Amino acid sequence: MRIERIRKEITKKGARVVADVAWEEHAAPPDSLVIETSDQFATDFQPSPDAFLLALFPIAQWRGEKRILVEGSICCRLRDGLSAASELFAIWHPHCRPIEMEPTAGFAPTVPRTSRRAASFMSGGIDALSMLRSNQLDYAPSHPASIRDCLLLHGVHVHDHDANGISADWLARFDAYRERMEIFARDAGVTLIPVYTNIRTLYPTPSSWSGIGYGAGLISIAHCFSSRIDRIKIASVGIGMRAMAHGSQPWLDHHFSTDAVSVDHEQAAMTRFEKTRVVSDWPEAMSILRPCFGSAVAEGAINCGRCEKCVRTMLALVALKKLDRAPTFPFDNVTAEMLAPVWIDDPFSLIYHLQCVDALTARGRLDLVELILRKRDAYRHWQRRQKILAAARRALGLGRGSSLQQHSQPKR
Amino acid sequence: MRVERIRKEKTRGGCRLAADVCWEDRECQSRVAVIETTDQFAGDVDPSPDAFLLALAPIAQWQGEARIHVDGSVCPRLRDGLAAATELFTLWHSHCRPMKIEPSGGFTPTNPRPISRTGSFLSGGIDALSLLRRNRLNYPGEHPGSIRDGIMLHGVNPYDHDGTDQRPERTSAFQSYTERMQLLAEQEAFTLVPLYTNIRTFYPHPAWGKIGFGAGIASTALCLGRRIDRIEMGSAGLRMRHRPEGSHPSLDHNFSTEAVQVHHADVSLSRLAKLRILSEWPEGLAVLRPCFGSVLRDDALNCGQCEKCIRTMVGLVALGMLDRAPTFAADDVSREMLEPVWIDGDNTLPFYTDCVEPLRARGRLDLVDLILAKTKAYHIWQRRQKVAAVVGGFGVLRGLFNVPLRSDRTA
Repeated sequence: MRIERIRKEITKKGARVVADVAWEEHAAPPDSLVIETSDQFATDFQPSPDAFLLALFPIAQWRGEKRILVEGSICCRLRDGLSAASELFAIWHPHCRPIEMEPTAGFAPTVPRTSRRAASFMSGGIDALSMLRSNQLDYAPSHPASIRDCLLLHGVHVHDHDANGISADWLARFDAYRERMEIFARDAGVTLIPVYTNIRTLYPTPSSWSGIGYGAGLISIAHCFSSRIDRIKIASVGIGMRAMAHGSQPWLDHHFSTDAVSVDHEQAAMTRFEKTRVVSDWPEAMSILRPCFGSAVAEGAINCGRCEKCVRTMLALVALKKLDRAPTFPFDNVTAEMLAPVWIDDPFSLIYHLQCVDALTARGRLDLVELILRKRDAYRHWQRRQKILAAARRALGLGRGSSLQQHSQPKR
Repeated sequence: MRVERIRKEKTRGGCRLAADVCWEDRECQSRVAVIETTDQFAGDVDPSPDAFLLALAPIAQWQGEARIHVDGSVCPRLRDGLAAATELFTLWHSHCRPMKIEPSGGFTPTNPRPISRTGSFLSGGIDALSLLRRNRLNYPGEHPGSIRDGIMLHGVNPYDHDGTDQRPERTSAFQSYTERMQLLAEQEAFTLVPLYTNIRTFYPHPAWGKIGFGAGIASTALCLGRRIDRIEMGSAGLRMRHRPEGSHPSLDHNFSTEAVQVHHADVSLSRLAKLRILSEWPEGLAVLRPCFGSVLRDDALNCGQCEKCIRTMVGLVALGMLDRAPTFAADDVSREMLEPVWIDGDNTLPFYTDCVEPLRARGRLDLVDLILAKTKAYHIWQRRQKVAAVVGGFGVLRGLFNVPLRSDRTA
């Protein structure tokens, strides 16, 4: 892969940094990676080679590129961190092979800004809001670790772009949500920085994004703001320290630091249920809470109330007896009928649901508990069957895609 | 556990930070944990509750304490990091249970010093010296990431104490090594900061290696928040395949406070790659001291016989550089020298297997054959352990399989 012509351009609304991306081993047309922000933050925004390297390194490795050439110089700390990350990716995904970094101007450490300033990512979900709330409870506003800037990203969800580029419909929804978030940010004493990127379009499959790209993709954006911040906080996903191959992990994200911007993976040991408790005690956050995957959101609504993420969040709020105080959800209760269609089809989802079981039991919601436990059993049964099928495939010498793979989804 | 009366006291040659340590859930006498330094740095050390909490939390968890109470306030960043670390320990060691942290002064963030300054631990071994060398090659002197302080710790090696008392001969060996390191410090423009601690004596074998090592060492840096805001700890050279251990790429950054950030450095380098860096640095080779130090005689820095000496010498032979390492008495490693060395863990094996190809290229097939034979014996032993674990429920069968590693030594 070659990352060339890294540049900053002034746009009508603000500024953007762009790089041309060419594949060397993978048969794909050249592309451009774009990161934009509004006028207000244009001067804080730099076309950092570190940012573009970090954003694209995982997908280059995923797609079998042998090297990644970057125009400019790369921070020594990021070089070392990416070497570590790429080894982790190779352990997690056997098809990922080592990849060489070749900056045209070599390796040189970046320099942090003289006065410290921390920022965080702000999606409006449980993880980001819980991190901001805990930060405000723990730190005085004058403390250098107090979050002063929140980056609100457009372009990291699968539906933000379609075959024709940016989805106008989703962009409008984002801008509407941004307006609400600006009021929230003002009340919370932080500055909201809207950022638009097409990074996700360079990760063609959900598995490449969630498997290795997610953390690097998000964090890369923060490196463009090194004249404004020297620290970026990214929230954990709320499963604790269990080792799972995922693009953002407590033992992965700090490797994406440079000397100018260090990366903290926050609240690593906190469960999603505990985070929901933190958020549920903050009415201002409840009024903008947006965990939704967003695929079925009605016009003007923030959450669909039906996707797995909405249901899992509502479930936790029911367990905390706080769902009626969450105005961004269309429901005040979760019934067994609402939970029944939700799939538990990955270990993360299983953990999130199981985190609610004790509290739901204590509230006497045995209908939901029973259903969660049934889904857990079905998931484990499916997992066992997958293991047997994999063993059978190996024994019969069948490759992937054989007919034995057709039962590859857990039962609803 | 209760960590109380955290205090700073003047001593004859400097000052010491001390805390009383009382166990709550196990029958054990209370003791005093100590971190000392010389007069020169007495103004830079603070009796930090964070430091004593970090030093003792792993052993409290290992020994089954339900809580750790600390006098004073604890930094929320360390609180969150220790929550992550204790969960990791629970995953790694089934007997470790969750443990509460209860500071009498609650959780209050510490503040970093206004001007950034970086320190690193400097044992004199491969990891620490290659870290320093690489830092010098990567960072200009005025960069905040450039190492300005080298912290030399006494008391963290197994032979530094006899029970709970310092061994005088080890203390004087440390002092004489400090003098040699002072020359390196002058050449490389950093300040040598000697610290003494008895933290290791709180960790019975094997708790130090399993969970205490990283926290115990990092804790001493947390006392230096006035002087540094970042501390570099050299990785073990096992890259990301490092098996769970007390200092680990997944662990050490969790020991940071807002005042002092802990960085597990050079995580992507193998031990052989580090040796290569060091072998091209004569000043580093002149003070190289990887030795476990159990059989040191006279003024020698390295015994040349322990596993760590042999592993380092094998690496230097593989690079064709052993004759340029003046701190080793031998200029070569013979088959007879390597033969008694055990490979007894996944974290030791790569140190030898990484050397196989360079040794082969140098025609040292005698060493290659022996390493491969030891590797094979180790794998056989591992398989046998797995079988033993499976049949563990059947007492008689267990005895048949669970043969101690020593009997697997290659002839």
